Amino acid sequence: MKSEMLARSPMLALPLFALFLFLVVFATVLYVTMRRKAPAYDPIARLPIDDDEHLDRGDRR
Amino acid sequence: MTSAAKTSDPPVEPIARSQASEPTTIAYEDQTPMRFVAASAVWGIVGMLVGVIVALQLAWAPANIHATLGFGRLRPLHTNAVIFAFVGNMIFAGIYHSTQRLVKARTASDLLSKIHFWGWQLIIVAAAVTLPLGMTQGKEYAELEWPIDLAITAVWVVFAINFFWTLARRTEKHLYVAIWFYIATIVTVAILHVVNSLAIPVLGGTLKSYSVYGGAQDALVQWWYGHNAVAFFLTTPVLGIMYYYLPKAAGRPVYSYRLSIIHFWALIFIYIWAGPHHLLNTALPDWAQTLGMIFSLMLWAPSWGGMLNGLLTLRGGWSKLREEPVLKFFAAGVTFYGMATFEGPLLSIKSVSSLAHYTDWIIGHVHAGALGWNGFMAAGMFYWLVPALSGRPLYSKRLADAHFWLGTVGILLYIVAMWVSGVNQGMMWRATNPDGSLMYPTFVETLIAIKPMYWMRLIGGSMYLVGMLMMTYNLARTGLWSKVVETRVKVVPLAPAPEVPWKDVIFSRPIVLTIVVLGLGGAGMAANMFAGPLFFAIAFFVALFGMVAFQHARKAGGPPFHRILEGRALLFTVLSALAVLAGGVAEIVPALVVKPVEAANAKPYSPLEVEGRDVFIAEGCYTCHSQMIRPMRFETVRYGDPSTLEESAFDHPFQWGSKRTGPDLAREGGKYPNLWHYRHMVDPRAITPGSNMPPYAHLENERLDLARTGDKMRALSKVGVPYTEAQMAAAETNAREQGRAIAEDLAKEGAHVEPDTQMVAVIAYLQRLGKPPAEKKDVGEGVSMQEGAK
Repeated sequence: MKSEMLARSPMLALPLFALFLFLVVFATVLYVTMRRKAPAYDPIARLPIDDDEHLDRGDRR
Repeated sequence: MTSAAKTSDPPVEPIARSQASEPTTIAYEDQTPMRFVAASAVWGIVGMLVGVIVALQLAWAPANIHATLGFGRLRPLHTNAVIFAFVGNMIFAGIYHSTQRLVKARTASDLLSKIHFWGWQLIIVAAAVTLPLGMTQGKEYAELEWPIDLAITAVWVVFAINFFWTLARRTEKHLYVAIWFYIATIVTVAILHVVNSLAIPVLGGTLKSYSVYGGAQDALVQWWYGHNAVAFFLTTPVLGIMYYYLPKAAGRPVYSYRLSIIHFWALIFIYIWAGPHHLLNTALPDWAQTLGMIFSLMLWAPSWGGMLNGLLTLRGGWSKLREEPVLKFFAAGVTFYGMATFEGPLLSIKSVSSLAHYTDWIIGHVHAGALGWNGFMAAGMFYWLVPALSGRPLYSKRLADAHFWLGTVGILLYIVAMWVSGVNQGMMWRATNPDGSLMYPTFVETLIAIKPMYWMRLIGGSMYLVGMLMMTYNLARTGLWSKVVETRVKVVPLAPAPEVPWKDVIFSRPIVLTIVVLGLGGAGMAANMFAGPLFFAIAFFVALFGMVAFQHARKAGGPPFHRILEGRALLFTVLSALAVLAGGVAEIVPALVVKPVEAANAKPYSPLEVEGRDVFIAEGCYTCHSQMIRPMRFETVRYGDPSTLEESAFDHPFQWGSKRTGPDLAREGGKYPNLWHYRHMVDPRAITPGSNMPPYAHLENERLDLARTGDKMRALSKVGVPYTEAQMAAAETNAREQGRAIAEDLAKEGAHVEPDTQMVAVIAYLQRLGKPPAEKKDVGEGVSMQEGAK
């Protein structure tokens, strides 16, 4: 009974709308990300590697 | 494609470096991550020790030596300890340590760090005390009662303030992908915890409360929470940790930063939808089941994208795995992630679920993730972090290697045992003779058949526990308990750079374009079936051409839009929350706002049945018994007609369960006489030889506080159970009368039990399951009296 009621409910549009939203956002992110060549991201990708720059190890605290 | 992109894109320099001002030196606060590592190791041992104990109890029932240490009470302690104590402390360690380095700022507040650490440990201790005492909400992975839930909320807010405050003080403007995963974790866990834990406490200084959701609504909310606890507590923060520590340990950047961007947005959006795959083939509306299944299948792509991104980071450096235990653990952990995230969507296919659901296969799947992914990523991180923070080399690489191999073999033994056991169970439950009758009509036959696998699981789990002990010893000898070495680093504070004004961000072309596209999409929804597709098509092409036009129109030298986002933590957080909420709201709201019309025919539990149900939940019976008969012939032949939504409409919380170590109880009412239930609970194996159910003889001596039953009914009435004032006022009298009838019935058979004991209440509850209440006799209305005694 509840399933039938929901099947007729306009609120079922919500999941469909959210799915549509996802597809739009996903396509946008995909496009914006992939249009730049991979080496363009190298400095950012190296952030974890380079975080020891200027490292100064002191005494135990 | 712009001309710049056609030739070579300029490197995306971290912003701080291009806005240099006078360098300054900061010292990282590393005592907090070290504390969290120590807590994680210790609680990990405790949680896994409890896991070994419950594995033993399943294989050998006499191991249930005491009421407070029975399987039903220890199992929630095991899951909570491993998830929130072991993995929780691990992710906090990783977040506190890596965030400082990625944003080049000291953690904002030492005081908040301390409150977070000690508050979280206090919560764990509270869980360790209350769960064995049977104080539980009865919702899987959300069992803790309301005062502890409030404490979790408070501590999480402290954590969030400290984290975002640190981001606000950062000197590296660009937010690395690990930080995105941390942001998504903090925001989503807060939403999940608050929504799922909404409950009405029973008045009068008690810890007892009832979920505001009931039946199918509760099922949907609970598994929206339950699955996303896996997603946003056990996965996204650990992915953030992977993106920081794996490149760090391998000495090379992540394989594809572009893939990590796609991975992040796709994962957080899709994950939130997948919860209903825990409820396939149940009474949940079909649309929600289909939604859960499809999004679970879609999860394959981002999950494997992330897994491959992790593994391929090791490209060219695989030889290091021979010498570096850290990389061994990371490589194996990411591989287990790939395996678990392949298996998860597979199990979400409706037909596969019909075989695997309620069986040990699910337990094997969960442990591939928890032991393989979480446990090994924790080990890898700890073996890297403790030497780094203590300034000492790892005490013993050989011991770490031994831990790795012992753990790996332990996991494989565990999950293979559970696969064999689960498939065996599923096949035996559904096996029928040519005449359509069940081949194994007695449930315990299917249990006895898999007992060897329970022993094998115990051996595998014990090996993993020994590995954890070895790791903790190794870390302790390295410097786990010692003070950390202070790390100072020169940073370049961000100059007050001219930023893109908020107005320009909000009314920027991408945002305007998105609004237009969404407007067209909304029009498509509102329009009829002929105009709708047209609107969608227009929206699609507007989006496509709009993006291309936007890229072409972008001013030369201006920052790309995603760069603007990555530099603005608040905006990024809001967008992450929206991505998560889109799925949650779309899925949950329709189920919550539609009036449960089926409840019109349902009748609430009698006062004594309410008490019996509370005992059932407190003893953790739901951890082994489902109350949901699926619409499949082999289920209906074994248990009776398929369950309906109406039958659980007033169950706060729902009791559909997730595992059948014992049979389904949805139509248990009237199946056996009261004496059978009494004897079965006193000594299960006297009634069912081969059963591994713990004895519940103690219920015979535990008295009910019937003076409080009216308060409980009042709390239930606040969440929608239609008790009248007369019923609530007569609760005690009513309960005593029903209890007396059951006690007299037992006495006729020679079993003497006081009518106000928990034993009698549970019998009343079990006799009600799947049956309508009896007609009113002489006290209250619409409430079963004598029926329970028959």
